[in-house]
Amino acid sequence: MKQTNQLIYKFMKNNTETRRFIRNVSWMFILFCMNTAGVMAQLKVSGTITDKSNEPLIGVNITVKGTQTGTISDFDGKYTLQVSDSKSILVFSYIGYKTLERVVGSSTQIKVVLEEDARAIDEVVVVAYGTQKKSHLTGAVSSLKTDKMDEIPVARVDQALQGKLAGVQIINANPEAGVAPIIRVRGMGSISAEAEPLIVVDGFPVPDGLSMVSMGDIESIEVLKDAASASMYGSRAAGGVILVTTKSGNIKKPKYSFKMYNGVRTALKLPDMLSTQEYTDLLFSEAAQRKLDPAVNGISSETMAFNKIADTERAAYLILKNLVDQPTDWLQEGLRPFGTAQNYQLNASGGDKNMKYFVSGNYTGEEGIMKNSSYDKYTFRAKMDIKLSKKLMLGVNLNPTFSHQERPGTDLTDYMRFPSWMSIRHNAATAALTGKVAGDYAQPSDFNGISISGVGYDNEIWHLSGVSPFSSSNQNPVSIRERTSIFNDEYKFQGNTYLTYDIFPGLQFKTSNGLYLSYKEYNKKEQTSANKAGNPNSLTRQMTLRTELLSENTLTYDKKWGGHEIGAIAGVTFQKSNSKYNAMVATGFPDEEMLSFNLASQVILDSPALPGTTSFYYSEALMSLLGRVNYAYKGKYMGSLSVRSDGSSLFASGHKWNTFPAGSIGWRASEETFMKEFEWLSNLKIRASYGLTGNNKIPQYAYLNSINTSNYALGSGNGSLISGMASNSPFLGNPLLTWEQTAEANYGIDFGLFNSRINLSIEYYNSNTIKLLLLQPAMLITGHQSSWNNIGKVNNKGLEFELTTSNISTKNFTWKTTANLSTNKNTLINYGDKDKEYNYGERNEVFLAAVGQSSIQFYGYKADGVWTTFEEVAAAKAAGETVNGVFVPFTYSKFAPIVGGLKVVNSNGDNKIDTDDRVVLGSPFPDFTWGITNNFTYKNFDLSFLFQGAQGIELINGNINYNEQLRLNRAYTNNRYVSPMFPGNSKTVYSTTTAGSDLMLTDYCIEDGSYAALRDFTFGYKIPTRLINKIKLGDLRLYFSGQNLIYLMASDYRGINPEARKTTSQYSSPLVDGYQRGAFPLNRAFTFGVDITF
Amino acid sequence: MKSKLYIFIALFAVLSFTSCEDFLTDKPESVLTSLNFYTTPTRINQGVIGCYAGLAASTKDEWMYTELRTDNTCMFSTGSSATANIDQADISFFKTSPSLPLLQDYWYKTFQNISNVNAVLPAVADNKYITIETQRSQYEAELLFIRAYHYYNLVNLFGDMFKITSVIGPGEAKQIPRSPVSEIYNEIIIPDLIKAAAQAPASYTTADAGRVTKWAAKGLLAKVYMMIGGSENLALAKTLLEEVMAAPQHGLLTGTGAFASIFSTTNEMNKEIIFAIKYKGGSLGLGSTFWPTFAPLGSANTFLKIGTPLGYNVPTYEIDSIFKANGTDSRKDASYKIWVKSVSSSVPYISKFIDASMTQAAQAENDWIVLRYADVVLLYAEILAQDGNHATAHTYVNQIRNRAGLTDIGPFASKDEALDAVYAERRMELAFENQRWFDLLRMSKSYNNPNKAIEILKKHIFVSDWAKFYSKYNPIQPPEERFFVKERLLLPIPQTEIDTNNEMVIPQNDTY
Repeated sequence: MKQTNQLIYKFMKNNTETRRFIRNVSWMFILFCMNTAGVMAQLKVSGTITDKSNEPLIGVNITVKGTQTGTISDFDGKYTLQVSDSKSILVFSYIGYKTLERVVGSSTQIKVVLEEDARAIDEVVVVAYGTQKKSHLTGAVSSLKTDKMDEIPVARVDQALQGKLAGVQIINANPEAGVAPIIRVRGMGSISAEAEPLIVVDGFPVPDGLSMVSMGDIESIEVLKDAASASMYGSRAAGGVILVTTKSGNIKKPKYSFKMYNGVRTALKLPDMLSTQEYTDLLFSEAAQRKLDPAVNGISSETMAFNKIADTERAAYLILKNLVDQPTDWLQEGLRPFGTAQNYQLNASGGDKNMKYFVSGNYTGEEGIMKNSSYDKYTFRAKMDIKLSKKLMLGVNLNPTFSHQERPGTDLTDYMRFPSWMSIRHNAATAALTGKVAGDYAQPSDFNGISISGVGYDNEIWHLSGVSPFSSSNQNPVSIRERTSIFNDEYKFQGNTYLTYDIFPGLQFKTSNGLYLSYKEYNKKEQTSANKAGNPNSLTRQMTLRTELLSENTLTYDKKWGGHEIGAIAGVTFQKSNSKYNAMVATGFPDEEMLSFNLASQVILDSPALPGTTSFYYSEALMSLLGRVNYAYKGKYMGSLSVRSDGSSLFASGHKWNTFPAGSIGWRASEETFMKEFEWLSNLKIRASYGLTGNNKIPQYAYLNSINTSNYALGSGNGSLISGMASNSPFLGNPLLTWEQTAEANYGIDFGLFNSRINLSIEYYNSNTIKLLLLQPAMLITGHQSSWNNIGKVNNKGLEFELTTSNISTKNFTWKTTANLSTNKNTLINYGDKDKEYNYGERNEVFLAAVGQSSIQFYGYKADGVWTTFEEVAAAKAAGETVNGVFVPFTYSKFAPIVGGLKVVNSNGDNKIDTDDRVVLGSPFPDFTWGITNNFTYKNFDLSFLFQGAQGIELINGNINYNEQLRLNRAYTNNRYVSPMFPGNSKTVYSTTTAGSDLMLTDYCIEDGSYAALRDFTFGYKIPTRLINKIKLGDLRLYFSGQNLIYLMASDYRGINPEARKTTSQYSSPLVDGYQRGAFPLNRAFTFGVDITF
Repeated sequence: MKSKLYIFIALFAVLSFTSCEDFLTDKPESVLTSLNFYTTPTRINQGVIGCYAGLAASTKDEWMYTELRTDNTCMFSTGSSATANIDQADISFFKTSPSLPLLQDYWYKTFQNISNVNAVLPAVADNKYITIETQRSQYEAELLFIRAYHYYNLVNLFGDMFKITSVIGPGEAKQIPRSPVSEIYNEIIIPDLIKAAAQAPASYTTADAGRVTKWAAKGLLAKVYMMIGGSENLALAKTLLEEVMAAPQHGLLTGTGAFASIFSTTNEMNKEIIFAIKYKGGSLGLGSTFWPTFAPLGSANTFLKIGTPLGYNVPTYEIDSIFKANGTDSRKDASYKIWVKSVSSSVPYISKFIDASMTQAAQAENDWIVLRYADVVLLYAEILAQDGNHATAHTYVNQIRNRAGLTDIGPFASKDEALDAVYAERRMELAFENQRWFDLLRMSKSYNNPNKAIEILKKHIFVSDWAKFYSKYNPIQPPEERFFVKERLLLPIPQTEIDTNNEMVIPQNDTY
């Protein structure tokens, strides 16, 4: 690396032609640079600059006050400078240190010791198109320095952010290896359009930025939360903006850093399943209880139809007892004993005054706790900033990544629902029973309609014929897994270059141009009968190639005079993206192992009934003009005005452009002289902002009516394919479509107490999203189902608290705490011409969007325990009323009263249970989310841990509906109703199949999804310097890290992972959220790591 | 060097300020738009083909409204809590909810195709793009037939209908009221079919077989006239049917196994087929779902080579007993069979649409027959019964009976006796072919009894089939007599149409 560095440096120095070119270009602007001329140097001053511990400081800015003369310190902290006379004042400034002034006087040797600036508020935060002093910030920006975040054993940056930023909710809907979480900044603004935040990596919007960047490469993460901060990214900023800044080289000698960890992960909690034996025990003990109950025993067969031990259950028992050697623990068949996590990263950084570099390589590997689940990612980064001349800077930033993910062919739920009497493969006995071949996979359908006899549980001989003990058309999950393989490969590259030119002091031109490229390939191989008996073998490959070109060209101007500080930027940006999606599906391979397209005998064409070979190309362009002025006076009064105009190709001509203005003001009261007497108050700032942001994230060509292939078979006999075209898209084009807009007001107050030992920020925001890009139903007589419209309004308001305290700070012991808490209230203000809409999940559970209320509410019937006695049921059935002289019995539609079944509340008091009895049952939005991090250091030990949680969040537990699972999962069978005398807890229904009610439409399935977790825990020890100096290492630290070591769930929650959410099919709609089924278990991880610098 | 810089600045300026509109305009590469697409003969042909494909899409679930609601079939998924089973049972009990997704889907698919016809039609209405007149008039005939066929189904299932004869936008759609059934007949169905009958060719080349012929148009027009009823219309229908029967291309299949072979996947487009909606199995995505939908639930791969059998649209006990009473009716096994699932459980299933060689799930070969020769013959007998020629009707009924291996009947002594015999024969001959619903509607007119159809359906549910069959349902609620009123012969207009229109009140059908 050092050699490269030197080579480039030499090249720049010696290549006279380059220099001449640069000089020529510079000449263009020389007229503007009046100040530089005419300064005559007379006195030479030199010296060294160090910090308190006598370490030389490299790159310190030294200027002569009142002039443009200046230099920076070199590798050894040395500087040399010409000044006009001995009265000149030298100003030494360095980021993170207090600025120092020295009169030259008589000495020509000035040695300076710079003091660290403890006041954190002077740190610089990255904002849209630039940086800003935190003290001058007037918007709502959460900033996170990512020190040690790379020690958290997760493969993705976003997963590590959970709980660390106020106003940013990260939901790990699926903890499987490498799966992206859901991110929401300040609630849900958009309804039909996407609401994900914009991810900007080093100034470059990257669609999946948080999966591309290696954690070790990150310097800081900033979240632009309010519209005023985000509106510089106006167009796509309505979902918030997350800025990722990667590390750069320093003006230092080469520094190498190596980090690694290795660890294991296990399932935090697994469902407690009953084996067939245990289940039979339960059934017979319940039967025994019923025998004791006079209310049931001896009553007519009609009442006994319920709580009966079915033939299927008897058959299962007989198979287990007589034919199967060993019951199968299906859940364990799906899981590894433990998963693994490993990470290796090596980086080198350094530079001199002309060139800085940062180069890194990273490998992250995860083996999921489910078999056939893994994720490997290789990330590289090379970043260089080169000073071409006094006025020209050049930078490159290259980031290639490759990841390989393996997904299991079937969900964990499928393992859970299989009963233990079923073996994976047939043995001689089961083969004989089913007429299959011993050694073949045993499938549920093999046991359809079997006849079996044997000694039963009660020592009587059971004769059973025509029984299907496990009625499922699915294959057994092990056979699915072993005959299916799913791989995702992603090749990505992000590269950008920038060039800055200092036209004259303060005025800089910057052009930044980049390319983002990603190629994703999804491969699914299925052998014959993998998923369903008789399915042919098949290979599916989906390829997505995406390229994005971005050119950003800006002029910035910074000027300070008197107490005034002004910073301005104006620019124009262009972005063009292209996506090509190709999918190929083929079947009929002669060999089960060799699934390659050249061997296929049949290619599947795409159709609504059967997804097949298809392709889709589209491009998208965005062009923007932007400008901003920041102003501050004496560090007390500050304000900012910005505007961005965006044109998008997603809208029709005449509707492409929109302008997003924003403004903010701030007052640092603590800087006022009258406040100086409150010494304990080191900072008090009041802020207010208002701005507009936009959203255009809708499908391409929503403004057009499209025509699609619509083939037909013509010709005598079976005919042959004739190509046809028709407008079969569900979308009716709307040429009037334009931007969705969010107007947000933000009010903030920052306190710094006791020399900034305690810092507290409070934000209040109120945002209204208007002209919602709403997918509305169209009259079906148009031949289309829906059209996109700009209609409706959503409000989000909330409070955010961020607290940082330095509790103890002594030489040997420090303790720091950072905490955050955020709330958000979402209200649907206008929903076009509707006042409410019902959206449905996979089991028709209802998600209500009602005007004046939250955008998503669970809606359905309220339950009041179970019907426990026959009298109660009879009375309920007999109850009714006389309508027009005719007695009308109380009707229940889908909720017939039955003992042991769910008692549904007649909310509106009429004589029937119908849809009018539905009420709001819960909300998927949390009341608040929170996180607390504590950092301790004691001598060479360090300890940090993060507690994180969400409170007041409800979810729909879809597992309740999973009949097969319901019967065998202890969480749903404990304390259930048995008979009037043994009603259990009077709340748990006997079973869905006999209860006759659709539980999924009631609050029986709604549970508290609140949780609190010890999310991250790290304990480290730094080997004392004197020990490692001998082996020439800079630093050596060992650490232990853990994840989810403590995890608390709500007591009424019956699942295994309160954070899990289903996000596919119906649940990909933003208005259908908060449902889980077959949740993937939470992971608990333990890792050991090493951290070396040299 | 300086000049280079100027060039750069100039280029930059050009890029920034003059080409915004170009930069921001995408030409869709893989998506074509309906604006100005149908401008060449090839593209117009593709548009016509697209409308045939639309027929295939809308016909998929038609049985739910034209068989399941009749006395021919019912649902038989006792104990199933699957939403589809409950919804379909509701349809069969005349309890169809206006917000039923299945109903909405059928409606949507039908209007989607009407919209597609309307998109192509202007391009063939004059000779702007097609210079060969026979080709132009053929395309026009095909499109008009398809639109008329959809509207014929719509008015008979839903009553007063939205009259859509051009491509409309979201706003326009909200200005269109429901027009009376007679207006739809007189302004769309009849003129469209008259034109189609005049312009469509009598036959096609082998490659084009399956397109609409003049016989198809005439046959459908005859049905339309018979549905409207009245002696004038019956006379018009009679002439049309005579023309179809005289067509050299068509006739009854005869010989051993003739009846079963009408439906065989290896004998498609046979002589008896006047018009069928064509499906093609395999991996082309053009397959039908009738066989996997009707194959018995739980039979796994006993009948289906691949995919999951759903066991919908199950023959009723009543039709079973009638077939059995008929003695040696060769149509019985070709129409339905009984699967003995276990000692205690037998499941009947429709066997007219079997594809034993499916290679892809839900992609069967079976075509859907819209009009066949035997239907025409029996329609002719039906007219004879009504127009005073009932004594001669038996000869046509017997043509059909003889093929089925049954003995002659008749001559009939009265109109009612003739009608009884004709409708009984139609029920056997055309069982499960989506004809029963229309027959029931015509019966109300033929017998001059507006309640005829509903009386038959009520008897089927509450006398013949309930105790034996429907009572086994769980958790499905029992049928209610109050729904069996003649108003319910119309299905409800999908609720979404009523809800979406915020500018006009769309009246719902009575009793819903």
